[in-house]
Amino acid sequence: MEKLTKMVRETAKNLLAEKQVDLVVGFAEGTLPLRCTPVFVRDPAGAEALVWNSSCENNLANYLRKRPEKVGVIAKGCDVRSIVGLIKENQIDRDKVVIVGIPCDGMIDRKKVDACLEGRELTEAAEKADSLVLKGRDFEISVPKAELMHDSCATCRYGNPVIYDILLGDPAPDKGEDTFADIKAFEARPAAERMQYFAEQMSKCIRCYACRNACPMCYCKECFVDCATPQWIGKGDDLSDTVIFHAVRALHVAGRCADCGACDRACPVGVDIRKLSRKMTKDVKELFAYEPGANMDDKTFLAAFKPEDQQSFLVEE
Amino acid sequence: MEGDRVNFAWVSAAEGGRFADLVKKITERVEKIGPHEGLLKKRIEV
Repeated sequence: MEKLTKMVRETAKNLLAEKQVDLVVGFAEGTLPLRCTPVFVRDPAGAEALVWNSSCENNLANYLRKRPEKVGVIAKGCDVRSIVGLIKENQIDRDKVVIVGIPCDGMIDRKKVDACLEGRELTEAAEKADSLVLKGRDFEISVPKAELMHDSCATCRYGNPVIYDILLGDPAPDKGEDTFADIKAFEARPAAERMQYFAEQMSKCIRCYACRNACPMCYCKECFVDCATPQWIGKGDDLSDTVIFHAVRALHVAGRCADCGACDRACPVGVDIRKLSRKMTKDVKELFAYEPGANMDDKTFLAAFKPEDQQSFLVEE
Repeated sequence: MEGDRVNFAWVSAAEGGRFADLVKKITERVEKIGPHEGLLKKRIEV
């Protein structure tokens, strides 16, 4: 990781010094352990602030839309998939972005770390090849990294950036096809039980819209939830409104969501947002053989029409 | 949402007869399901 940090700094410094880019978006150390935070670097000396480790979890594609300047971005696999999606939707100009890709084995879920700490305060975290050493006053524990991964990282099959201008680090191992076992198991449950699950999850939602704000694909100038004329849904925390919000958001990102998990991570109350969006991901993949952001060549899912497209949703006459 | 409650069909503006038949069929189907009791806002009782 220290090696990668060094490479990131050097690359950013060169890009800025050679005026290939005006800005580098990357990660800097946060104020607390395991809380790396996005940072904007505009001069070569500032590149020293950049770091790379397993808590660089934000999706940086969110900062790249419609930027006037040339931008370099330190991007892991899921960031790059979102960038590809945004390039196809004309939100990012490919000629104005320099993608510094870093293969990713998965990022650490702080909620899982907290569970290991059992209420103790974390003051330092050190990353080893396969484990994370958590230190605080009077304790030091080592936990395998695989146990601390985000759920979205466990199912991710695109750790290696699909496009890049510069690639740093060693390639991530190939994990094979995503089986969607979690979604299939959920689909098999009876409808009433599924509704019950969603009611439980959504009733936690405080409608802060952090999920929408963290999502690189949620960029409507006026989101349907903010719209007042007409007011599509109520603004309170009534369960029916909240379920509509999450259902409509899932539909809006259908065939566009790269399943980066940014929504899940941003949620302050732990709503299982990915259950809906991943179901859409699965359906789009199975019905239309399309994976968002998997390559630059495919036309976006909703912009393409094939005569042999599935029509099983049409009413029987 | 019950499976039969949402129905999609592709009907041309020139297919008036077919449209009427479809609407009749769908109305019958939805009436059979009855009123929806899932996502409803509860009116505040005074």
